[in-house]
Amino acid sequence: MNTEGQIAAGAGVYLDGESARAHPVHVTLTKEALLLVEARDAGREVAVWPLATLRRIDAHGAHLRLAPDHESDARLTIREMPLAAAIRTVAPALGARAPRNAKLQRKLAVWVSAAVGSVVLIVFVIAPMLADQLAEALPPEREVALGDRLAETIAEEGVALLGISAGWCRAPEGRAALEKMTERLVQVADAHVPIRVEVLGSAAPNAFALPGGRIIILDALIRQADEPAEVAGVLAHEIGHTLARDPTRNVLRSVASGAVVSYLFGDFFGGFLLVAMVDAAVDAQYSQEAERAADRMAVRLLAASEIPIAPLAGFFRKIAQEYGDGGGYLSSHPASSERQAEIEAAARPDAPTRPILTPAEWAALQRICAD
Amino acid sequence: MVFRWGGDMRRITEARSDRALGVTFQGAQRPVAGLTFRTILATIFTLGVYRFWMTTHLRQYYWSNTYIDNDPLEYDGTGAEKLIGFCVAIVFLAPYLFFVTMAVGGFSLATLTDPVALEAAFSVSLLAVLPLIPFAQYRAERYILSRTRWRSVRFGVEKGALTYAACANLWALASLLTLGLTAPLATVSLRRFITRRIRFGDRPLDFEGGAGALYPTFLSIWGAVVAIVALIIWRISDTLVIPPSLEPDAYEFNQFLAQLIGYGPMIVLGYIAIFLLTTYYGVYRRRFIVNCMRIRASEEPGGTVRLASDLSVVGYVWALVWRTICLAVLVGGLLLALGLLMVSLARDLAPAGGARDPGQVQSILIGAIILFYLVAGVAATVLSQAMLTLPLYRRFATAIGLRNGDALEAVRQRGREASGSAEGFADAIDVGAAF
Repeated sequence: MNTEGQIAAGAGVYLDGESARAHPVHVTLTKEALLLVEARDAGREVAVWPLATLRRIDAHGAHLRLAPDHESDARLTIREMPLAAAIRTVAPALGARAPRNAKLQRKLAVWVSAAVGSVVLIVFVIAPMLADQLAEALPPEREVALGDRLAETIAEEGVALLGISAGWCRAPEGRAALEKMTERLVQVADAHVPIRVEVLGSAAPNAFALPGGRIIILDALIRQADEPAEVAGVLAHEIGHTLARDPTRNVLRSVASGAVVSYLFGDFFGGFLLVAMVDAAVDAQYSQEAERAADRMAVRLLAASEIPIAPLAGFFRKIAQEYGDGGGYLSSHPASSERQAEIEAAARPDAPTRPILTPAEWAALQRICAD
Repeated sequence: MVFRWGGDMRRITEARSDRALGVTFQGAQRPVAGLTFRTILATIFTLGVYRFWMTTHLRQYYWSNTYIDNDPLEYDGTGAEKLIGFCVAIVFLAPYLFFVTMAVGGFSLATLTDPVALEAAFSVSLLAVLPLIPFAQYRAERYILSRTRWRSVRFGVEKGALTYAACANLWALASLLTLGLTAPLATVSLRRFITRRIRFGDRPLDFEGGAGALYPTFLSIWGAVVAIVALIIWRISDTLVIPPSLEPDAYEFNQFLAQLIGYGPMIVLGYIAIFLLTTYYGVYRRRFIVNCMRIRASEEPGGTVRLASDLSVVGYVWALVWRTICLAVLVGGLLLALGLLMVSLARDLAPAGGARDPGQVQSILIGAIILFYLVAGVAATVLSQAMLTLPLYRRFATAIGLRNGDALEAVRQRGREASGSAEGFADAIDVGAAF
């Protein structure tokens, strides 16, 4: 049966979207629409689908599956190549995307904000708060035990991490000199845990405080120092960390929120980068404050024990020259130049000072790792 | 033969008079590899955000190439819906996980000292997520089915995630207490629960089968696994020398380690055997579940559609093993080649006899490791999708038949459901499948 304006015709299978029953239909393609007519039931008209809104559901092999528009549940399957090809040529927007769903977009915006907000709140606000509380509440003995175990781990496995080359440096004269320097500062410190200082052999200068009053100095720092007051300044800074319970708080905060964040986000591609970035950001924002506070405490301790403060500023100047200024939003420490300036401002050139170590003791300290 | 066929196999051979609808699969390895490759790159590039769209595209590929009686399945879920679901899950999970971790952390800090033990304690707190897993799985199945259609009619699942999760957790407890002997009972109970809540259009599905058909095979395998484990433990405890003190010194510890390593081959063989046995049961179980499923297309006597699977379990397991080995060899070879390439490049680039700036060396090293990791990950993902997931999916799907499938014509359409939290919880807790 020839209809006017017919471009192509053929057989198809029609689903009305109301049931799972398939109807064989005769399909006529005109310039404006697809006319669907029952194949069996004496040509009863089934549907007219305008070409303008016609959309393709999928096309595999010779099949072409169509829907009248983006909303409808009705489907038409064309298995005849010529008819399918003709439809593909004539219909303007077969592969067009569904129109943007404003409601879905709004819902997306709301929930993404909620999720981000939830994580940010936990990682940047609640975790530090709770970590601080927990750190304050931790009994000194537990802190000491934790610090001891961490120290052992560092000594055993710190090689790759920190360029630590040998084990503990325990030359007796060196240790005695170190004890003398430490005692000077501890007297004015009023610490909640016993302060124990040890030296590890290493190629790079650094020092860090562990929970429980354990302080570790890397021996390159001692060897590269110009005078005992420099080492005493660094030691005072680390004691400052200990007094503020920074090491414990660090451990708690990073383990708790780090565990949660990496669990939720870290197990797929790119996720681990996200986790690393979050970790660094939290670290940075948190530590820079702590470092400045430790610097201020160091100045107080040095002044109270009559040790010159200016050499500590000199230490930061050397660091800035050797290793760059550092600092910035993602760094765990403020810029060395900034720290140097702060300390120099606090130094009183007319403050009373007493020598810390005799020249012999200083020499012994510098040789603490030689054995 | 060690394993007996389950009782349900007989039912399949009986019903020959009804017209059975067959399942065919048009998907192929190369197109799916290309699709996976493109989408995983996008995922990496977007730091993982695209993965919701990646899963959606893959699912669309699999569904739209799966034909039941010449009509394909349709999947109309979106990546946006999945992302929303994920965010919903985060809003609930992040605080929950955090507070549990802090509580456990506080408690363990007050009692433990060893940092290793501390880290273990914190990891243990992540077990707080375990009871949520069945909840996530139910909701995921609910979402996926609600976005699946066949012959234009939608599937759906009634609510019930909380009840399901409660039952599943109780069964898990029972399993723990009985060393796993209640597992078939749990399978039947839980699958029956969810299957009866599945709808095709306006008609319900049903589950006809009892654990009795599962137990023969299950007990054989359970017995074999227990026997292997017991044998290994007996052999080790018979000959192993345990260092006298709880904190052994380096020499004693090394001796202990050497002994453990000596048991290596036996342990590896045991592991392989257990893996094969449990995989076999896993596939057997899935085939059993398919065979129990019914679609109550209408109330009349001839209105029930029976699903049947004539999958060869042994064939499936063998394909799984063989393909996994090929995949491992391929990816391993690729990584080896890449590693050698990188080493030779490093040699070429190093200045003659000079010492490099340690900072630069470190950053190059880190860059190389990241590159390696990325290439490994992409290769493994793409190749496992093409060599493992797709062929196995095809095997399982095309073995399914729908007896008396013509009864499905009576089914009427159901309305479109809201997406809820999509599979957000499953995505967050990571219990999703390959697509």
